[in-house]
Amino acid sequence: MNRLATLLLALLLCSCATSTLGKIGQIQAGVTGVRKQVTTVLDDRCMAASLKCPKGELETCKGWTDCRDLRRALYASADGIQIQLDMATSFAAAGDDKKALTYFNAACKSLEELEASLRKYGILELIGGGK
Amino acid sequence: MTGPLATVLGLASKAVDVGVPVLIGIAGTIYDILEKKAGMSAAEIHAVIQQERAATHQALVDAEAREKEAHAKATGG
Repeated sequence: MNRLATLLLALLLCSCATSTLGKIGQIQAGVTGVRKQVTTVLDDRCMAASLKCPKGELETCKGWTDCRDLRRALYASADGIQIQLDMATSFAAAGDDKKALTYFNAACKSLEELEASLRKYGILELIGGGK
Repeated sequence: MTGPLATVLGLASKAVDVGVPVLIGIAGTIYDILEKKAGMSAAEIHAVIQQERAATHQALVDAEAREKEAHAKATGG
């Protein structure tokens, strides 16, 4: 299990860049890192689940389909955040920082929700059993 | 022990539990984050986002294909 991901999340959530584009770039890199963490953990978990399924019944095997569906949902969430960041980038490039920050903040909120989901499903663990 | 030092030591001690691929991935991501502190243009961010969205889709397709193949081999199906 990846406890160091907490450090990564702390880094990206503080988003220490000063410019709007800088903040977007940092959060974007963080979301990519989180998505890769989902890949690392769930690919192993889903592979193990698939091997336990009866012959010819993979598509109806609950162990594997649950894992597959969770991975799809988390990927969709990460992808949605990327879209929000893409919108924020477009507004920032157009000089509308107010709208850019609206999308950026929405992306940060979505990322917090994604992080909560990752902890719920044991994909992330907080060091020291924090919140 | 409490405070930042304890946190750092905790990180270091718990790091041994983490697999090498995960460590490499996290290190790369942190590097990406810090590197981006220097600033990226909007066009660069757009391009990176498009690449990541494509990679996400491909990772999903590849993973499900690998699992179906492994299941077929394991069960002789």
